[in-house]
Amino acid sequence: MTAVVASDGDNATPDRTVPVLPLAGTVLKRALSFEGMRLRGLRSTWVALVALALLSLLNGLLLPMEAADPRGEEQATVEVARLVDALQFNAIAMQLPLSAWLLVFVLGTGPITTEFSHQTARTAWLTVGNRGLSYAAKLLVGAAGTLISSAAGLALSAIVGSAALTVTGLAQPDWSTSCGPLLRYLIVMVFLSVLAGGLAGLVRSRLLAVLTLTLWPLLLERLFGLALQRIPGVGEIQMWLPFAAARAAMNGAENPDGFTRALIGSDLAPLTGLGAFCAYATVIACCGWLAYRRREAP
Amino acid sequence: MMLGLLQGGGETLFMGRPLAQWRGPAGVVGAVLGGVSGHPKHSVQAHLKMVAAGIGVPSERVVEVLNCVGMHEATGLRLGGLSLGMAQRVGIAQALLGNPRVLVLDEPTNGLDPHSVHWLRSFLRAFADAGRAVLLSSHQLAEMEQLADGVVVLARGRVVARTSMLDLSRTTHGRVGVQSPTLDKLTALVEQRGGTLHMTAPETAEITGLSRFQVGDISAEHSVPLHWLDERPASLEEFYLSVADQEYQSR
Repeated sequence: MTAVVASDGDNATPDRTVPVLPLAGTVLKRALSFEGMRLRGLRSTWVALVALALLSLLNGLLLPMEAADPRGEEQATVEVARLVDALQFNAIAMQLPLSAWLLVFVLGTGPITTEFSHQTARTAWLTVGNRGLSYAAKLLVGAAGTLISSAAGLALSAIVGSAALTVTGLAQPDWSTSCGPLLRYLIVMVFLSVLAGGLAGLVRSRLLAVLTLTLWPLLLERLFGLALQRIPGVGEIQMWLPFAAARAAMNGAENPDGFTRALIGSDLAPLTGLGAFCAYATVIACCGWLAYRRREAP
Repeated sequence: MMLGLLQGGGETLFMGRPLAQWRGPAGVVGAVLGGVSGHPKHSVQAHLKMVAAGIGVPSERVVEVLNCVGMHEATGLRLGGLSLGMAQRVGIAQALLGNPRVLVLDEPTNGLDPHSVHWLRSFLRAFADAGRAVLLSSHQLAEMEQLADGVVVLARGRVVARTSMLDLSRTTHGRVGVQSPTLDKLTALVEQRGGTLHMTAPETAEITGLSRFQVGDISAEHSVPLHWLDERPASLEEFYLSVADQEYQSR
């Protein structure tokens, strides 16, 4: 039974004022504000950001420990490869930067998986206007949040690290040479957030999204690479797998040793690796959208 | 489905357009679909400010709508800690943020205490009296009878009847209550004219299918003494059951 309560014709005049149709840019801005405030209202966002800030601080303080022994009369300093690896939160050794593990579940998958666990899609879609805009806003805000927090963490590490090197009497490293790998690190972080959001939309499960994102770079990709090596003629494909490509993009060493190469898992040039990873992230985000648009919000 | 939250066929126009074309749907429709849909860790204020930002209204509007629904003291509470009645009021506050022309509510009185039900009834009446529309779906027909100006009956997902409450009371026969020492004689007369007499107690019966005027005339014509005659208008529940029964039997 559906009851219609309408105004009594004798007592009230129907409100026929037509609402103003906002511009597309205004609608997008509102959707971004909505998602931004959603993240700001959660304690988990702030916990992740504070943890990142503390780790960045620690990273900077410990930078002098990365200094190599002085050669001849040269003053001891930190080599570019080690500097980059330290500022990237040991991206190669940990297979993904530690900052990624901190941020990706809060800013990447979080906005979408919350809709599954707490059924917030209804509010989002009725407020923002449509699913496409809501999905785009989630990815954009997640990516922007990841970029800003990663860049801030990086800057904090660099400033504290530079000060720590000065205090301990070590020479300043070649900061300008490290700019390229660090910039690529930031781009990888942004697209990692996009990939995580797309994956969350695709798998439609909070637990599955977290498990996939945890196991994929650490285990699944390695196992898949090993399986590929057994097939004649396709062994090279493992270099192009998403997270191997991402590590290749973030690598700061010009000629890495055998162990480091094994950890990276790819011999791709940094820019090629970056392009490959961004392409993967974009494809997954598109697939996530195709799944998301068919979702329902009962 | 009307709001685009579920997949399905058909089209719903709000003020002449599908909701998705309005870009800012909250200014057209406010929906309350079972409490408030938000993150349980968000405070009421943070949640409503977030929605206000998404709609594009100033955050001062949050205080206005919370005052409107009598929830101004609950701004700091988390959504997860709200009672059913409080969640319903916050849901209504959220729906009102965009100052919508249409309010859509699904089973709004479910789980509410009598005080909250009374408040909701007064609130919706005031909203409708301000020249706006309220679309309310419910299975609580007695409650709807007090509230609705018009009803639409859905059976198996299809609209099978649509009428105003005024027309309903005019066009549908209710039950005629009679008291007579010669009900046997009256039974035959009623059945001859297409009505049905149902004994409810000794010398007391209810007649359906005839109006009280017809029953009075028959009794007078055939010298049947009546000690009581009254007519109870058809309830919304009877209307619904009659329409829904017809629909189910026809398939």
